[in-house]
Amino acid sequence: VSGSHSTEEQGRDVAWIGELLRQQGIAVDDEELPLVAHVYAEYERLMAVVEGVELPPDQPPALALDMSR
Amino acid sequence: LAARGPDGPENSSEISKPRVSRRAFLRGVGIRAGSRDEPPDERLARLTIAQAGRMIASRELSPVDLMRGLLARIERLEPVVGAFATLADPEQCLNQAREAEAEIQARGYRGKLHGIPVGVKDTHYTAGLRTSASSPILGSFVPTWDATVVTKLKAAGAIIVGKTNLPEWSMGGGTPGTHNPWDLEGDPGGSSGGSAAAIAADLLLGATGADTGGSIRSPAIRCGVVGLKPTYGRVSLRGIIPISWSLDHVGPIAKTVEDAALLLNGIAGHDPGDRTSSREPVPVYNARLRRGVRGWNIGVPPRDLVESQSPDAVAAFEAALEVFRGRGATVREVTLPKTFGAVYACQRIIRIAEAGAAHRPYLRSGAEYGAQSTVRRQVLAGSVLPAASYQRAQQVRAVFISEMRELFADVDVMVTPGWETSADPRGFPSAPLLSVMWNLCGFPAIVLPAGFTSGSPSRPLGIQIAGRSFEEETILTAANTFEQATEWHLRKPEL
Repeated sequence: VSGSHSTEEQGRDVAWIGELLRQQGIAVDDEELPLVAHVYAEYERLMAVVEGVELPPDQPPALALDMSR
Repeated sequence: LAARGPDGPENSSEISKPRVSRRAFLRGVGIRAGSRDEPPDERLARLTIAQAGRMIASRELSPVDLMRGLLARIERLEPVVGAFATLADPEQCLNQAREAEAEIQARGYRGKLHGIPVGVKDTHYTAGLRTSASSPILGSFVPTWDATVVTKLKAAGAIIVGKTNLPEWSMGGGTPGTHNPWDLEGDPGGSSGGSAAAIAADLLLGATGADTGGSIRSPAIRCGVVGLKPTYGRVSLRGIIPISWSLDHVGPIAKTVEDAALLLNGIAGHDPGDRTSSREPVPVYNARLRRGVRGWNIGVPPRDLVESQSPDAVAAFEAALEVFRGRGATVREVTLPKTFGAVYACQRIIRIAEAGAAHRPYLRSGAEYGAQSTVRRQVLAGSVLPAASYQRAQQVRAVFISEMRELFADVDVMVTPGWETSADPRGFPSAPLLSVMWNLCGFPAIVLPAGFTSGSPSRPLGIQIAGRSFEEETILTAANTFEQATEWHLRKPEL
């Protein structure tokens, strides 16, 4: 899927992404799945960047943005 | 840097002396457009909101004459620019202008937006007016209620002339079907490209856009107009078709900084219908625009980040800093937060995970997305993103916000170069770091014209000014200081 993925890995990504979408009730055809997996591979790279950030212990998320000064 | 188009003073003179029919308005006589014997004066469409507002308040200008001039310009230029997804019925617009005129005569003037023709992005619900977000899924959807932003604009007396164009679901760095008034072969940027093109071409006096990663600011830079992304929570998102609930911001696109301030006053404020909207008081944004920046500390990004922009953008940025120094400000480089390296990744992950959630009903129902669009595959990818990764991105975001608050302890505003954008054919719309960082932290940022590229065709360049949360007034003051010291905003494309 991404440049660093082998053909076998690409096939695995396509398979599990397809399965996960189907479990959610979303129909995807075989032609579209590699395109989705290609997009997903880029997000996988971005997820690795975020995982690499060192966070303070018990850091809460910013799910409800509080912009008050 | 090379400039293009007629020079400023000529335009300025033309704008300040429109030929208008005043007789009936001054006499207080109800007017029907058909009874007016003079042809519409298209040049009225070139007025700013502030100029038109002053003239309407003093009864030098009738809202009906203004609307007639604007509709004539739209009729002539919309086929060339393609700024609108849907136009309101011209006769209804004229009727609303007549009502504004009658109300001003009988009961008084509501304020600077009274009788002003504006447009809103086609993601805003508009009762009785098609709202498609450029998607075949919504097709001919006509809402029965208005987005809060639209309600507020109408309450201020503004007249909605049309819905401005965008890429499908707002997800794109360009705006297919809309042409950049400065280069009709070129794209206006996106996703609020219709609004920015309409303002640049004088097809509207004011407009709104929505900004998740730069979708107000990128097209505003590219079209040579002013674009303001307010603080998260400053402007209600109720009735706005979302990309990403925690990154979406609605704000004005305008001809001048003062107009952006007037529009922001028209749309800002708490909305009980939007739990993310803030109760922070709303100041009168145009009240202190002229106080200047003497003694202010202006922060600028580290050199390597500045120089990652195009040479023309860097030159415009450097020239802008000289303007601020000349007005008594101190400019110094800031150290960006430790988490800055993860800003792009966080914004992208949060955006696509939330977009996947927003689109789940459409994906499950098998609704058909546009044939040329990459939106479906993007939101499908967002649908399988691990919840833990989304959570992690939000945790990093919280730290980034805290670090940005610390950064602003030492500076009044940050000034950055503008950026040039292009759509990525893989389906990753351009999201410049200098842009997305303000969506991630939620702080306000404004862009405004600051020059033109040296190549041919010559395109507008901009600078960006960002500030602390809810300090829109501060960034508007800095922007106004720059605008008043330069003439970039007076240049107009040849159309």
